[in-house]
Amino acid sequence: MADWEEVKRLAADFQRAQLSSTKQKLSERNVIEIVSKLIGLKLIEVVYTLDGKEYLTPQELAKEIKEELFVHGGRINLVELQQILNVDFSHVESKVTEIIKHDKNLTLVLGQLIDKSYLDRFAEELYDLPADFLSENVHERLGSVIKGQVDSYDNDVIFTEAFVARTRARIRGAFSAITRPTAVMAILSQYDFQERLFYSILEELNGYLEYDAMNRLGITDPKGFIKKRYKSEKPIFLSTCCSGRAIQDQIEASVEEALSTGAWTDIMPLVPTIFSTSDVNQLLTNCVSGNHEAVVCCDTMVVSRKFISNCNKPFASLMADKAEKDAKKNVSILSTQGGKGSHVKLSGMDDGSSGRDDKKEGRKKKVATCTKSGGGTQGREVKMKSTKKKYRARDQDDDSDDGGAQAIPKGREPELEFMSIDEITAVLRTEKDLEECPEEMLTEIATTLQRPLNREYQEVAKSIFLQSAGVATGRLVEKHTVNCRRKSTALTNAILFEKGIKQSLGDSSSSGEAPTEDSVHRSDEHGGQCYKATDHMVSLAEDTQLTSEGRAKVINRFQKKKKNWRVSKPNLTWCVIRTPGVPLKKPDKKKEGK
Amino acid sequence: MVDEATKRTLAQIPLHKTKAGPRDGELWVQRLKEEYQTLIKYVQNNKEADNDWFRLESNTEGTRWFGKCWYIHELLKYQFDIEFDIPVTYPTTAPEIAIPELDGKTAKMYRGGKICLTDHFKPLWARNVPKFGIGHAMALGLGPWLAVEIPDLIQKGVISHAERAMNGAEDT
Repeated sequence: MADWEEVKRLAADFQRAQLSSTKQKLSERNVIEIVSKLIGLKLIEVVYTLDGKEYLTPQELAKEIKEELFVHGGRINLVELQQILNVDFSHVESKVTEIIKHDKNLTLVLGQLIDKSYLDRFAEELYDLPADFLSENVHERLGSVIKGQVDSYDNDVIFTEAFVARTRARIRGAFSAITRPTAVMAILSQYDFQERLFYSILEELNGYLEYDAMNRLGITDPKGFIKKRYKSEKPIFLSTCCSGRAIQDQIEASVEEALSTGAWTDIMPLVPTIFSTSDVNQLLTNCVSGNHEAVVCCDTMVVSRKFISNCNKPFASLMADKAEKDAKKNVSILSTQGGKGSHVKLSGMDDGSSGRDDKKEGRKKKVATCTKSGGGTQGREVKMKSTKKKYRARDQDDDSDDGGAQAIPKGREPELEFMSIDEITAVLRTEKDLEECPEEMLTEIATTLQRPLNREYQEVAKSIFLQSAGVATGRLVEKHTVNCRRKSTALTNAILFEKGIKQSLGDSSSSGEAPTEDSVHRSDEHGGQCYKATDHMVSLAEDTQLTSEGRAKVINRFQKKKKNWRVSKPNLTWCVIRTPGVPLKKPDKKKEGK
Repeated sequence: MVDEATKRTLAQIPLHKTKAGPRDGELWVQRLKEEYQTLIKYVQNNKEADNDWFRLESNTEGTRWFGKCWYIHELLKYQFDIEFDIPVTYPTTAPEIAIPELDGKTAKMYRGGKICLTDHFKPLWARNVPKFGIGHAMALGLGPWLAVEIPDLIQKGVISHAERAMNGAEDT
């Protein structure tokens, strides 16, 4: 009947199973609702974890803190604790302070919760180790495990960095609160500062050390002392004092700012008054060395390249205007034998830049000869052509007169100056951005700008000039043909008239000759003059009807320069032919026959 | 035909191997052991799922079973006594579970308070002879019947919580 026994046993098991308590199951949603309801009713108090997935009661928090403390061997950082428990730091902190209040075995030191057992163990470990051994080991770990510095005068004293920082903050506070001269000793005693630390920090705070002052304190070798004292600081030794990191940083920051905003800055107000200009310059050079963006002006100022190039802007329009004007004037410069050129030279000499100009001239000449010899780009070629034409015209002039009288060297234009430094400075001063700049800086900027501006201007002037010259050349050719045609007709006419006159001389009176000659002469002359005028680039309006007075004036002008122009002439034919530069066709016999 | 939850419940309770009725002597003992094991497992599963809904016990021979079942409707617990005999032709014939106190109160019931099982219960049982046992009868027969009938009866006012309360109270 073992089977029935078994059935009985199973029946009993079944009853037990039925009577066992049902596992109460609540969905997470329900639980959250219940808990929030309870919180709402202020029946329970919970602390949420940072991820919001869990909450725990303050009692649980306290329990967990204690457990963690135990696990970590009696000492735990609160921050670490916070990370482990994943609860907001304020909760951890307040709970810990609460626990400490109740539990005499716990202490909170520098954000670390420490159990008494830990201290006991610590003390046990240190027990009966000799002081020498300890200090040796401590020194060994300085800067690595132990963050602090040894007092250079007393090896037994170690300042932790935190202590030094705290002292520094206190000193800074005390000194910024001073409103009247106060004895340093008074401050020292009142705030109970470590004397040596106090002095070194004070020096540090000032950011610089004056050698004189140090001498007064009885330090005979200031530089050596500083080197020894501030190994890690890398101070800069200047002529009168030694600058600390703080000042350098300050300078660097303002320089950087000036560079990044494309502005300028004066360093002088940033440094202590004791610094001399040369000191500042030294600091500044040190600071901007390797930085191509920065330009040091007037020893103490830093100007960014961007700023300087910005200064260039106002000149662009001025340059175009001036170039336009000069291009016109330039025509006369060329024809009036460099009068203007020499003048420019003179004005250039004011700032001593003539030497440079000369050099540039030389260089230019070289460039010009190169161009002549056939090299160069397309642009150059155009230029070359136009100049060549000019030369031809002038060469023909030279052929016809005694030549060599031209003072301007061939193949280059006279040196042109855009503006003098004073003028540039004046323009700069009117700029809005530059209003605050001191005079010296403007001058320096102007000096920097002058050369590139001049160069640029010369380019612009040249291109404008060549443009106008190119137009003129075109017109010249046109006129030349017209003139040729006119001349040949005039010549034919003249010959015809001459023949006619000769024929009629015998029987008619001589009264007819004069008007004929005059008319031929005038038509020829007018053409010739216009032609000559353009040739010489005297701006004569093409259609100007010359009166006999005006004509005389023009002729006079030519006569002064070139002796080839004859007004008085033995006979008509000669006069026409002598007009230079006009190839003449042989008089048409057919026409003559008529 | 059978809802998902029921299917899952069925899948979790063991099936029987022995085909034996009360008159089969030793084999019935074997069958009875299996019945108990199945019921224990079923009850445990229910409790795990917070879905305990009956108490059951039998006479020593395992031929007559009685106990309670309850149904919770609108946060109120309605509890009923149940009883049934193991038929002579068991397991070919399914047990007829009865709720005597509801006799005459609903049309879904035979005389004597035997619940009128759904049309598909019987073919399902027939297909699964001898694998199905008491546990299955409870899960597939009584469970769904209660779920359908009780809310209906409560709504009709045939049963009220007040008269059940005493019954429920003495048990819990």
